[in-house]
Amino acid sequence: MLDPEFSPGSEHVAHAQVTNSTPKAWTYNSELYLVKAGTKYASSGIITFTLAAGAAQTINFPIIMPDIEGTYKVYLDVYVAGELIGAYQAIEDVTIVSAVPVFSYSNMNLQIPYIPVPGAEEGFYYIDIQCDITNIGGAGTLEVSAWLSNHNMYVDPSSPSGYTFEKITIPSFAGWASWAIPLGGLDWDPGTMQLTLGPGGTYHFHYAGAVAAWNAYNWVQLRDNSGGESVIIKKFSGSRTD
Amino acid sequence: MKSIISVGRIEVESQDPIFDYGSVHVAHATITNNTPKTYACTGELYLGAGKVATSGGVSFSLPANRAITVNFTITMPSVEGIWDPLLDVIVDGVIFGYIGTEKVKVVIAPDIDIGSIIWD
Repeated sequence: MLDPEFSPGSEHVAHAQVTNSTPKAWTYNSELYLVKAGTKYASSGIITFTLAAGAAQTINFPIIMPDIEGTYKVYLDVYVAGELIGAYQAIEDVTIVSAVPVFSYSNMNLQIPYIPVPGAEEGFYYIDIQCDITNIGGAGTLEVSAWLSNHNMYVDPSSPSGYTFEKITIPSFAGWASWAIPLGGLDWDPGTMQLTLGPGGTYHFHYAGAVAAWNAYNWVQLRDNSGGESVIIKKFSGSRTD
Repeated sequence: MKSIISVGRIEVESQDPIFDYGSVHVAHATITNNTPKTYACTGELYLGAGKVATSGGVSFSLPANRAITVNFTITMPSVEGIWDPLLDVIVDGVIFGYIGTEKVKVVIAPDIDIGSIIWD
């Protein structure tokens, strides 16, 4: 059986089946602890229990896992009246692994409504990128960026391969005339952001900006700095629609 | 009148015997036949008048005018206590009783069996 793996600092309970193999009742003091390289890193503290002659019982040892990654040996010491009578080492060690954030992307959406951006240079059009992000890993922060491949040509390549995606690093509505920014728009996400999510946490990414989109094909994708990425969405903007 | 038999020191393996419960030990008793007649005897060594542990009957032949050592195997009881080792020897239907000089002490040391550990 594989060694159990736990996250740093997580709380778990070890259950140990113990049997008083003598014909006399005893009160035991016990401690379960984790050791790496000869150092005790975590302990249940002293757990006291009494067993009648020949009795068996499951004893629970709550313990907070160490913050440091690695493999730890599991020891259980049992004392009676201050004398060590049992020093048990579990067959399975405990491994502490850091749960890293893993973002999953869904409902990727790109809109280029072919509306000229007020205040921007001529030929720049409104681009709206939205995506739902779910953390399917451990808690953590990742850099999430929208990447854009823009080609001002009136052709329809079958794929964006061979074209370079560029990372959007500006805030939403950069270059827009202030009067044209929708209510609350300044709170929309920048093209690149640091996103912190707990396990199972979700976030709705929403970027709006400008793109040289006159009669152009645009491919958009969200990527993060741990290799996660959304699907690629393609839109044509111009005098025809795709 | 001299007794038919006499019993010397009853040794239970040590001078000051302290034994774990359930352990098996042998008591040695030197028994002397003070007569010119050989007897078929039965001996029983036990702990305390309540017989918390006993060797059961041990049969032996006691040659005329000879002393022999008889071994009595006994399993210590599963209770703590201090008892006199008592020896009964039956000769021709007559019981001769003796008390060992060293008491036997039985102790129960704490112990525990630990099974596998399951995490959740």
